[in-house]
Amino acid sequence: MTGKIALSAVVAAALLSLAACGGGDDPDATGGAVTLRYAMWDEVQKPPIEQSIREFEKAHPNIKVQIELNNWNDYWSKLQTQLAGRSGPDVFWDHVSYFPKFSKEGVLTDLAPLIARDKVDTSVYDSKLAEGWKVDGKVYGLPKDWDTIGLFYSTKALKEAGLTPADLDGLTWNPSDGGTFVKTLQKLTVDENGKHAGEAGFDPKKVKQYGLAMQAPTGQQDWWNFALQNGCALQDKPWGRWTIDQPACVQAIQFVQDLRLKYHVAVPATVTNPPNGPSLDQVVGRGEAATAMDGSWMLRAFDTALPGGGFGVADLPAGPVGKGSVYNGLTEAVYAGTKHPKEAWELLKWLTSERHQKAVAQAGAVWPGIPSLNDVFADAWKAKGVDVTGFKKAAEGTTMGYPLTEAADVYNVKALDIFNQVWLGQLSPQDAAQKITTEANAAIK
Amino acid sequence: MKKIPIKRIALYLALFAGAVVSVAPYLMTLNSAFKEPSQVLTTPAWEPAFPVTLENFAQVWSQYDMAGFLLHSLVYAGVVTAGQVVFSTMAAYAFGRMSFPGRDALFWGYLATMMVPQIVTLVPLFLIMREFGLIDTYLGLILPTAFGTPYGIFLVRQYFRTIPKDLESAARIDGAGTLTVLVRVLLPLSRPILATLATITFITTWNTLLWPLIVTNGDATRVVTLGISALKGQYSSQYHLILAAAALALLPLVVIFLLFQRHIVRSIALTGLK
Repeated sequence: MTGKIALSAVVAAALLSLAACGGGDDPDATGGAVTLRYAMWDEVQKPPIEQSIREFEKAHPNIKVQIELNNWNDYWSKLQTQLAGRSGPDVFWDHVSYFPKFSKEGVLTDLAPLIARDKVDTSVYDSKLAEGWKVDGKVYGLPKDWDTIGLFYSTKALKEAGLTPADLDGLTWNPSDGGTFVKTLQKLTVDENGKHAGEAGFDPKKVKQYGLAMQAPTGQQDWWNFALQNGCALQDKPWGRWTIDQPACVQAIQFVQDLRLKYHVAVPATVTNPPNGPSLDQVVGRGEAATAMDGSWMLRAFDTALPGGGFGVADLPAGPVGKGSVYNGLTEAVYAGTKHPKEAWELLKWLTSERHQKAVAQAGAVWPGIPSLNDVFADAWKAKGVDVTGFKKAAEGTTMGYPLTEAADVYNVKALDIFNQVWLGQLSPQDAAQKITTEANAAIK
Repeated sequence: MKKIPIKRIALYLALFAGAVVSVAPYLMTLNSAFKEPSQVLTTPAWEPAFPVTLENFAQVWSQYDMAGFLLHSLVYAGVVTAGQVVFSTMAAYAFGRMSFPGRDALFWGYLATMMVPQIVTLVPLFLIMREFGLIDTYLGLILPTAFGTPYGIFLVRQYFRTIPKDLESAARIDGAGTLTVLVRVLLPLSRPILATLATITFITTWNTLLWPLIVTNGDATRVVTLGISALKGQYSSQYHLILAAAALALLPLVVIFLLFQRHIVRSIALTGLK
């Protein structure tokens, strides 16, 4: 009997003491100082950002910033649950695929009046990026960074195939025979007997190293790029209807399927299909592929997998209508329900300032949202022996933004399923294009 | 002449295969945690780590608040476990031994909540915690599971029902009240099942990701599952750090299991739970 009472007493005491130490975060209780919650998902970017935020805190002694880092998937589950519970973080990273929903739900602060009041110069940002975050004259975020897609390659694999980085320049592809892009990838694809793809006696079932690895839950890093290079538009206009069933788009999807199933130069979908496939820095790092189409945000990951000059970046090939890359960027956004709108705006101004973005670019984390700082980022990588200027050229060339649509949720879920089947050869590109177009359009009111 | 026990050999081979499948992932985690970052990806997971490096552990320990994460998890899992053992026992006694109107309906109704996926109650639970102002507190973290779960109560109730009623009657004749019966008669006999419940609860709570993710925000309440999960980038993962962190997070569980292993095995033998 006494034992049980003692035990419950311990539990009760523990609960009480925890209640006492857990509740100390209430900003108003700590003498006027405000704690802002700042949510992000990229571990790689956290250290330079944190360092810069410490400076911000020094300049604003009444504001403390608590960084909340969760990985991509957890980030969105948490953010959406907390927004539903009207307890979102004060400032957070926003992505185009969630933005339309958020702007409609009214969870983002309109920054336009604040920008006008404080005379913030928004011309420093690339208008191509900043425009996408405006709806009916309201501004729902300021650019944090940008990214394009490039062809990452393993220097070792290139050398073994007797190629130089220059051989990856000026490659072209076409829907009928694959062009020089496929020819080069064939040279980089080797089976266990040392035969290359396209050679007599090549065994596509026993490939040691593939020429190319591709992986994209939405299409951003693979077929959207080929689509752009083939003259396909995913939508009739921003916020408009999907037009993926057009021949130019179907050809691009077909080409990605062909790279795997017809030419046997790309890592099979059984390995790379998202969300369970290993990320491409690992596929190339393990020597399963010589090159990978991936985004500029992956530079640090490739640098870890292939350290000491083990990788480089080439341009994407040109298609029938020329070169082109998907061009996207994140914004810093302020939660509409923040209890500290004034302080949150101060933090946002800092995060989108030249000073902050320069510090992050210097660490080689991401291309800065302010294009005049691009050289800072490029120089950081030049010091490591990697030429990353191709991403910048891609951004300045023909680009396609991340599709703006209120059907983003539906598209994301359906695309993952439908295109995984296409890459496995279980669904024809024509049927897939028809299906995704119909289903995504049905979600637009 | 003894016959070669073919059946027995086949049985042991099957058991061995089963053991390999269940234990291998842990061994690979442990093994890879000692590899150099570049080797984690380039060598097979079962290839012994050579040269052995402690750098991953040092990095995870110094760059991230691993000690803090482990401590927070320990507090979270410890309090929930203590709460569950106490309250599950009380509830199990009420459901298993006392008679009151609507007892069975209440019990099966409560048990039926096991069928509701956690994700369905997530937002309502979050809203409740917000109304009480318990977001980002240990109390908010602990409360939803500290008062017992259907599973725990069911487990203990079934065990109580195997204890002969006569024992209890005898104690009552000697003048014992309900609490005395519970504490002096039933509990001493129930140690194996309570040890099992404690172990299962501790491990489940230790491994929980979703609720801590939603209800806590700051570093002061961040548990180890969240800490490890944050290391996973959107497209890239720092596997050398994740594996070292996972190996560290595994240790307390191994200790708990070794401590209670005897009781768990016995409780399974006793109840015939398979």
